[in-house]
Amino acid sequence: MEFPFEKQTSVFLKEIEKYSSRLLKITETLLETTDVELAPSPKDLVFQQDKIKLYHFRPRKKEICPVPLLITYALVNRETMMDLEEGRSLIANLLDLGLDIYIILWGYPSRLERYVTLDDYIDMYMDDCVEYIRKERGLEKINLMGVCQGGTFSAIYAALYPEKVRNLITMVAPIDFDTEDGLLNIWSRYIDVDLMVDTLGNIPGDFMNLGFLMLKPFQLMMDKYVGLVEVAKDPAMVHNFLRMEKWIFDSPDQAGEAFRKFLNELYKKNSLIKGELEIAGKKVDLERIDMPILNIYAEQDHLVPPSSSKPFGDFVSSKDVTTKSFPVGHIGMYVSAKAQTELAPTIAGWLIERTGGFPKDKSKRRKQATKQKAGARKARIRKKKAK
Amino acid sequence: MEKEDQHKDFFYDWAEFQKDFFSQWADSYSKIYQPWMNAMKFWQDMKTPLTAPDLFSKWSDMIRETIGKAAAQSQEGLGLDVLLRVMRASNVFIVFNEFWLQVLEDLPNLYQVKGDDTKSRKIFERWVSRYERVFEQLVGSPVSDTAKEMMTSWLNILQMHQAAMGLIWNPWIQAMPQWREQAEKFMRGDLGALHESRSLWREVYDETLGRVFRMPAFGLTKEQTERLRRTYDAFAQFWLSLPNFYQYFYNTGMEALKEVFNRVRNLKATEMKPETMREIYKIWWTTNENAFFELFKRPDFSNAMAEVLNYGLRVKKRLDELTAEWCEAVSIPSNREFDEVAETVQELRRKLRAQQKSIEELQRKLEKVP
Repeated sequence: MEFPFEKQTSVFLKEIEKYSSRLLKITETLLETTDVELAPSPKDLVFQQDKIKLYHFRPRKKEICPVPLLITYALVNRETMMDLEEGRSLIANLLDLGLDIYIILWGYPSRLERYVTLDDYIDMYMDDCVEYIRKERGLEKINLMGVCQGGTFSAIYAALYPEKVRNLITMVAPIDFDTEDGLLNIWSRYIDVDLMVDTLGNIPGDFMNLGFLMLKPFQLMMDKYVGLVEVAKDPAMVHNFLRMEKWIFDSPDQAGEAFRKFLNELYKKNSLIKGELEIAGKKVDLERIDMPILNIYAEQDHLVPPSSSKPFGDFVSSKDVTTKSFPVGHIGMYVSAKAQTELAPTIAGWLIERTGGFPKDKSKRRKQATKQKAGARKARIRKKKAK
Repeated sequence: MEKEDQHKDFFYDWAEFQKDFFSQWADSYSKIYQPWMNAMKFWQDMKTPLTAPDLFSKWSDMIRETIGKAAAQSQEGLGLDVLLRVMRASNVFIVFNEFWLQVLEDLPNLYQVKGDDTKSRKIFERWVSRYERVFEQLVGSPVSDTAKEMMTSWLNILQMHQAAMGLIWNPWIQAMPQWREQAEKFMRGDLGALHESRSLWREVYDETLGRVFRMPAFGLTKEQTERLRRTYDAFAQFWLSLPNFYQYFYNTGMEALKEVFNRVRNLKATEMKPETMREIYKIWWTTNENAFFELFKRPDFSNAMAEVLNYGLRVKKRLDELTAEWCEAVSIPSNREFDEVAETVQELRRKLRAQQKSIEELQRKLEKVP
């Protein structure tokens, strides 16, 4: 009988030699790189309230969807994941398909933001951004897309202000928190959130990150780095890796009071789907969501399990609910090859179909272009004034 | 007794599995080992013959030294941060390879002592002790510097408090690191002993210092004294909760190791041999990942984790309270006051926004007035 490790022992030295030389190579590449750029798609700051900033992406097409899309990302980590780099950017893909996109940047809460509440984020800051776009574009309703925790925010917002939302897209968004499929859902039941916020104030981003890394400790804290050594010869791959690293560890602190309510009300009590959640003194009734919904989830999501996002359509009154899944993980939704080729067309196609398509006749297009230019001019003036 | 039976079954299976190819292994090993020794220059520089464990340790030292020098001269930034994470992960990878090589070395011995429970168990214990190095590297794998700083600063502050107050129970508190060390030793060996030691410690603590810390104080400094005592109590409870928490990691790691052996054996049975160390390593980490995922889902683990977290938070909370009190006594703004400012600022922001809205509404109405 053959010894099962014969080959292993015979190639052992070569493996180690190879690993060593690659490690030295990767050292060279890494030490030459002090930073990498994320979010390369050009965008302009058009509105700011406290630390919250609203950006408008410069359109890439002449023909653009007449109703703009506002993207709301999570408070956890940064929205740069959606525009990681040229060739791996959901935002760029959507712009290429003719969408007109705004995005909210939540910023980095400092001690001064400890008392920013969930109500402030949704009913004040998010609403101000929506109001700005509505006024600027002269529209009653805009399209809204919420990603991850931002999806929960968008669902809540759409329930509070259905008259301002034309179409709602939720992507890998937790809605039903009472699930055994996600470790975050399980762990949050045991954590004394009040003690945590009372003691720490804002919740450190590093603490949050450690929690996320713990979900897959061997893969995320070890194997991916061993894997990196193996692609040391390819600087492009190393730089891709660095972009992901930068994103992962760019984790803003969480405003204490907002964190308290999100964990206590949503993770622990699951009050959103029970109709018990209150924001700014108003009951959040998901049944008020009557606009078309595109609900997208990742089949292998370990952060927001499908069982948490999938049932969203069951709680709303909308007659037009499309639920679509992709065979990827939470992060793969933004960066996987499948997402790059299929996700953006799915979103853009669905949205354009429900906003009457691109303006066809020239006069309408001209009108739209004039409106946009006027909007941009106004924004510049406001920016100057603010300065 | 049950434990021993398990070991016996495990070794018996393992030895049976190895039975037919030990001789071949010995041949190939003797042929292969010498070229290894010759191939890497740094080995040749060694004056003493290297055993398998040295091989990787030397490798690790050499690489660490080389890269450490380069890193020290480079600019801080993303690349350097990632390099440090890569180095930590590489150490685990290398130490695991070292462990595996040692297991291979032991296999002939295991076969020779087949049927002898005591000797088999000794070999297994040797594996366990070697595996601890892998585990140590794992525990030391990337945890953020901020998290580390946070933890050490809490402890430093507490040490300062101890030194400043010169309390009668200082010896107890000072003995805690030793106690912790001892508990960790237990943790790596006899788990039953650890459990007993922990229970005993808690009992002793509750009967002695625990009582002192929780009893009401008297006199002018009543409140301060009580706060201080509660801080010590929280600190003691925090350290007490740690071994219990780590015990879960240790147990799961060891169970996963057994599973790794089983998986490798099954691979052989289906003629799917691992071709490289990297493949064995992959089996190892994926097995561990699954085992830890199952552990993390368990309510008892979640409880233990929450216990550590909550005790840690209580220590910090109590220290913050003490610090705030001292700051206020010498007219230095405390966290409490900063928080009051932050709360007021946010309240003002809300009011400002509401007033802006009202002004806009009035302007709209004004525009409609003929």
